[in-house]
Amino acid sequence: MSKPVVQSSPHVTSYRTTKNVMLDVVIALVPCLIAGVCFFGARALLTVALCVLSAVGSEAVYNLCRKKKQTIGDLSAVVTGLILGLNLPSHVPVYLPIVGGVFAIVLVKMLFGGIGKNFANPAATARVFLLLAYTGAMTSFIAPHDAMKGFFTGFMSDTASGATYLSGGSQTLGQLFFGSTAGSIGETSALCILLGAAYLIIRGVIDWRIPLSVVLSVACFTTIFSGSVNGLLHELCAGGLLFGAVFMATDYATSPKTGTGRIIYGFSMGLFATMIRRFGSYPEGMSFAIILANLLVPFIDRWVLPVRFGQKKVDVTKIVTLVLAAMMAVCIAIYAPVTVRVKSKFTASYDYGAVQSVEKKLNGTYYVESQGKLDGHMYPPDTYWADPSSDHYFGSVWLSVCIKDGTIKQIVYLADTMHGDKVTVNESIKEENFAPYLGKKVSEIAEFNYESDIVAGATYTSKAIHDAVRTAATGYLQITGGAQ
Amino acid sequence: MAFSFHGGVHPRGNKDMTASVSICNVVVPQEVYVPIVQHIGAPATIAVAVGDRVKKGQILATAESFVCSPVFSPIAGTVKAIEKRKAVSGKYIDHVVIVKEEGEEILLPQLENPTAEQIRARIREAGIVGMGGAGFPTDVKLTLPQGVSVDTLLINGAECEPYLTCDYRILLERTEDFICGVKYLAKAIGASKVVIAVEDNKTEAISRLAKREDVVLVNGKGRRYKATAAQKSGKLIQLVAVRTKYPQGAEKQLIYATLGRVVPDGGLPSAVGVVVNNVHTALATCYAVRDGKALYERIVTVSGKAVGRPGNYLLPTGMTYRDVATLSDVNEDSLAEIISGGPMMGKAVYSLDVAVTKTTSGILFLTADEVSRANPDPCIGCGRCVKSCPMGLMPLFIDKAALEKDEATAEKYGALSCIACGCCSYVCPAKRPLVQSIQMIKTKLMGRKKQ
Repeated sequence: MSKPVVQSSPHVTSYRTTKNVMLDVVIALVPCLIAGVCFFGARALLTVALCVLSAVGSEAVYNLCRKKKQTIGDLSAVVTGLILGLNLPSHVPVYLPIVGGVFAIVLVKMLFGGIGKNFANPAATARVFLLLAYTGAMTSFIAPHDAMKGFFTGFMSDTASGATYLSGGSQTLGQLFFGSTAGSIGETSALCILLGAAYLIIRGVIDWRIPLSVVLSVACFTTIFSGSVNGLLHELCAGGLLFGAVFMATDYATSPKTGTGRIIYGFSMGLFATMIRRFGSYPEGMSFAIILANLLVPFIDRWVLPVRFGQKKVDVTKIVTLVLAAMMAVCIAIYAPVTVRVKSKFTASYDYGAVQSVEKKLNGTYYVESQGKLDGHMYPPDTYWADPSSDHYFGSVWLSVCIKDGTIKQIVYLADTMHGDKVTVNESIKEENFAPYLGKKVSEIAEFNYESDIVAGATYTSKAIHDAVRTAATGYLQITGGAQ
Repeated sequence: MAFSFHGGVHPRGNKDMTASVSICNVVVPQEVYVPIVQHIGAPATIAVAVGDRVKKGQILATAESFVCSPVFSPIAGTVKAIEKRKAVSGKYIDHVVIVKEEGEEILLPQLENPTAEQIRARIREAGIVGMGGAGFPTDVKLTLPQGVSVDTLLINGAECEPYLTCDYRILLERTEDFICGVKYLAKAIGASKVVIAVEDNKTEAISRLAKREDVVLVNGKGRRYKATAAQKSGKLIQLVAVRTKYPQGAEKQLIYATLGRVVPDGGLPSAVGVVVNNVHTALATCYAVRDGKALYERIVTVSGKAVGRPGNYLLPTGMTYRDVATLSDVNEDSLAEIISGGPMMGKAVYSLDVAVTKTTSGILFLTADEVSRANPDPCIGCGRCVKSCPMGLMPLFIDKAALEKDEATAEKYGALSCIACGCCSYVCPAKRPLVQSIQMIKTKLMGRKKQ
């Protein structure tokens, strides 16, 4: 018999290894990757593949150069490469994922000591770096193809560009949830992200507290900052929020090790993300928020300690969780009924077309939403307000037109674009621009000469305004049965 | 959390090899090597010389200080030698080598209706120590300091270590003797109630005990221990089925799980009015007080895939592991590790020439696939160790501080409160030897505190 092994206890260990943890993360990312490739084509697959190869390669080369034990076998570089790749727009130039991979692995991870010693999430930091260094490429997204059809067509050619939800596009909740929207490769499909999250939580790889507290925190602060719960689900499904909350915020080295710590961390990350989205210049705040929250982690771990068995200490976990949960519940509870209550005031007196019952508050007045566009009427019955919108190539406009007794009484300019509660306003449109319309009979609008620009020097805007007023007039005629 | 505690892990039980094997006697070997230290405390003082004839149960070494325990001969024979040999702990201690011969047995004098003090004295006389593995002299544990009183005796029948089934078999086969011992112990400390804690997967033992007239089963489904319900029954002994989890048998965790009382950090169970004793200790108490038998043999679980005849054997102290291997038909070719105790906290043994002691609860002969060996990787910061620590420490930070020789940080994160259960090392994906480094810094810290 060869000499028996003598080692310190315990002599048995659990089946979990670093490698199989990373492998589980890779498996969880597969749905996002598949969705990304379906929506954006095979070019997306190339981008992700280059990123992974670059990450693994740079770690391998680094270890060789520093004469250290080779660590690519633990698959953490694969995970970093995958996550970074899925964070990029699909049609970036090929050097971008390569540079990103090297940056993420060498600068953020290896130079600080390798796995477990990075100060911030490598993929998030690399993404921010790429965003600052190659802003144009990183902010041009393509519109998604139909699933499957797009796989081969989208390989090399630049297809039509699309606006993401957060930078002004208008997507439906369904599009945002299933992922058929412009955005980074892996972050568009909320459904795939949730599948990945479920897998990771069930397998015990990530702590559910982190994604949950990030999402709830974003929900809470979005509600506070925008003053209503409208568009909340859109905000949550849009952008890199879910992807970041599930796959990047949960990186072990850069998240706290205690349950309470994780809740505080997720909460602060949500706050940062919402503040950047709302008040910052960038439409998308998640990557920055991740890095900022990562920087808080050493402090959290120093001060938030688990309650030691036998020490008479107040259970911080319970108190913190309850306070935060109560806060969020209060916010949502305050805003939901407020907006709902306003809605019910108007639907009863409404008699124009199919009414969706969502309310939007703008400039102090309430409007009823109809079929996705602001397009409604209000009281009293003989005064009709129409809120038409018109899109022209460079000019789009939302107006509010008041028609009484067959004459246009007032036109109010609302905004250029409006979605969520982001409003872009064209400063050059003033109330006097609408003077030519006032007092005109509705039936005359069709013949109205708008050749002389309503808004000087802005032909398209003028055209848009005229189309909008004409839409209001047509609507009015329809309702009154052409009586006036 | 019903009858459970925070943290802990669920290693594979591996008890099916020996759970249904009855306790069986063995043919005592030709030679025994009885160590004079089989307990925590000062070594016993040798009371025999080479060439002496000893009877079975005769005292070999006496206990001269308070925290000490006498050692007895498990066989009748002649003292061949008194030599220094390596024990399982790795230290060189004196062993009394006895060659088997024909002879009689010595029993301690009969006790009629013993008082609490008489019971305690008999426990000391018989050399009874904590047989769960720690080996703390039981009479010292039962001798409470001034002003400290205890209302509950908690019998630790959790047996949370994988493979071990000796306590379980005692509950099934020696129930009457066991309960007798429990009653003696309760009387010895003046406890008004007794709680027997058994892990809930030992269903047969629970039902067997619950059937007894003097035992009431405290219903465990979904609720914390409700003292009132069982108290109303007026029975002395309450049986609690605790959640099967490692380390359920850890003293502080067991007290919390069964009674809901929290032993203060750095304190003793008596601080919350509880004294905890192992099942086998209770059995040995019965034999000592009722029958006058000293403690020189015990039931040991011999298990592992390399064992041809696994079982629960009644072994004499001083029997070498080599003899145990022969007796239980161990396949030496497939043997990868020998463990004294359980796989979570037991000590690996490098040579078969060490001896069975009063505290050997199990001897495991494991094959390569039953043992985990891995080179440690860097810590990934996953926090699984924090989650599983039953004492609420942060092992990853203690490990880091220990490697950097930073004692202050290690103390801050809880090194002194570590019970060395092994949960942290068990769950670590990087296979880091966390317990080892925590014990290292703990020893340094305790040494510093003593100064």
